[in-house]
This record gives sequence, C-alpha cells and structure tokens, in this order.
Amino acid sequence: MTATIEKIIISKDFIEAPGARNIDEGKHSGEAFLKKLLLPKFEKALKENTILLIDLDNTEGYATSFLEEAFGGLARIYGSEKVLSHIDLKTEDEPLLKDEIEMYILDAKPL
Amino acid sequence: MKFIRIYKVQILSILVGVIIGLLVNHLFKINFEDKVNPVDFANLFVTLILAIVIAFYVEPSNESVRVEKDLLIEQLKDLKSSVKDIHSLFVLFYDEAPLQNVNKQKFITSFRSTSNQLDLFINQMNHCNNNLSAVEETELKNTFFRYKKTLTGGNFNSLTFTFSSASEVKYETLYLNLTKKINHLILDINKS
Repeated sequence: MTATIEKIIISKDFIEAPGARNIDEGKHSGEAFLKKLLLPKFEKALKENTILLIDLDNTEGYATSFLEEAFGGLARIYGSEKVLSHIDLKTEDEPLLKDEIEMYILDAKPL
Repeated sequence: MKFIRIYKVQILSILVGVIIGLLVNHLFKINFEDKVNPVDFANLFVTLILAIVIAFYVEPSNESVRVEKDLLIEQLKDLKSSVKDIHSLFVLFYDEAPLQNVNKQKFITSFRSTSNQLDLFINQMNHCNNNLSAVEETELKNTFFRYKKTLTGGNFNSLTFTFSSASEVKYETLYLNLTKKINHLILDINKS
C-alpha cells in the first residue's frame, strides 16, 4: 500500500467554514462530512488498499465537535488502527491539527 | 623603501617599544632576576591557557546557551498570553445564550493561533540543544487539546450552543493546568 489515489480537499469539496457536530445542529456538520465524503472515500481507499489524503487547509478553522464527530466517528466504525493506516492528513495552516485528530481517532471507542 | 612603507606601523611600534624600554631602564633602574622559578613559570603558563580557553570557548558557549534560553522563554510567554486570550474570551462570552456565530469563530481562530504558537515552541525547542522529552511534548500537547475539547467539543457550533454552567470549574481547572505547565517549562528552561 503506497499510492494515494483518493483525496478530499475540505475547503473545496465540503466547505470553508466547517460547522457543528451533528446534522440536526446546523449546516456543514462533522456528521454530514463523515456520511457524504469521508466514509465513501475511505471505504474506496480501504477496498483498493490505498491511502486517502485529506487536505484540511484553507478553512476558517475547526472546532473539536466537528473533528471528533468526523474522524472519531470513522474510527468508531472501522477501528483506530485501520483508520490511521489508511489516511494521510495535510495540515500546513495548523500543523498540530494532525496530532489533535490522531488523538480523537485513538480515543474513539468502537460502536 | 617599499619594505618600510608596507611595515611602517610594525617598525614604529618596535621603535616606540625600545625607546620606552630604554627610558624605563634609565629612569627607574629596574633589576631583573636571572633565575626563573619553574613553579612560577608553570603557573604563568596555566593562567595563560585558562585565559585563552575562557575567552574563546567558555564565554561564547555560555552566551549562546543564554540566547537560546531567552528565545524559548519568550516563545513560552507568547504561548501563555495566547492561552490567556482564550480564557478572556470565555469570561466575556460565558453568559451569552446562545453563543453568537461571530463569537464562536473568535474561539476557533484563537485556538488555531495558540496551536501554532505551541507548534512554534516545540520546533524551536527541538532545534536548540535544550530538547523537550517526548513525554513532556505529548503531555503539553494533550493538555492543550483537552482544553480545546472542553471549550469547543460537545455541541459547540450548534445554533443553540451555550457554555455549561456545570462545567465552569472544569474550564477553569484546565486553563490553570495549561498555564501551570507553561510556567513549569519556563522555570525548567531557565534552570537548565
């Protein structure tokens, strides 16, 4: 597994101002991002045994509620180890965001 | 003539030295011992070596360490000030019900700025000789992430979000923990 085929640029493919945690709490939530973009692309990367690159730059910033629901949510479905081995995060605007997201993935308990 | 023109300063210095020597000898009648004590000679030699070592190696090295320490401490003070700004936002908007979108964005922007201050400090620390241990680095980052999670987790960014009065003590404790960690680092760097 070396190639990066799937890619998500949050600012272009989703929104520049990510929103709340759940769909019923407002637009552009972490749950919506997980269901519409992250989960389908991750499953494709998993099936093809490749890496999914997620570009988090050029947005207005992320609240924990969004990040935890999206990435923690993915780890609750597929487990932390599988998620960490199939995603790559690009976070030049805020380098520590990568560590923060990895912490939410590791903290997620399977459903 | 060309030789004299090139070395005129050196020749002049030697001449001045000889004249001063003759004058001193003539005026004060100084007598020098013919015998040299080997202990005194060794003492002079060691003193000379120490003076050279201190001037060329010890002092520049101390100065370089002080510059590094000052830089790291300055960076930590900026980080502490950034964390304080977040706490000030919390104190200002704690009662706002619901928290307005523009104010939610202020929290997110402040956390991003603080995160980048923290990243800058970790980079500088690793660049200097004063390395932060992996455990200390993880602890510092996790304390910051926990603080962010407590303030912007839950249903933050929802239309009805307000800070929970039940968690007020928790917000305060995490803010103090983070400030305490930064203060300890300042003291440790200064002592090292």
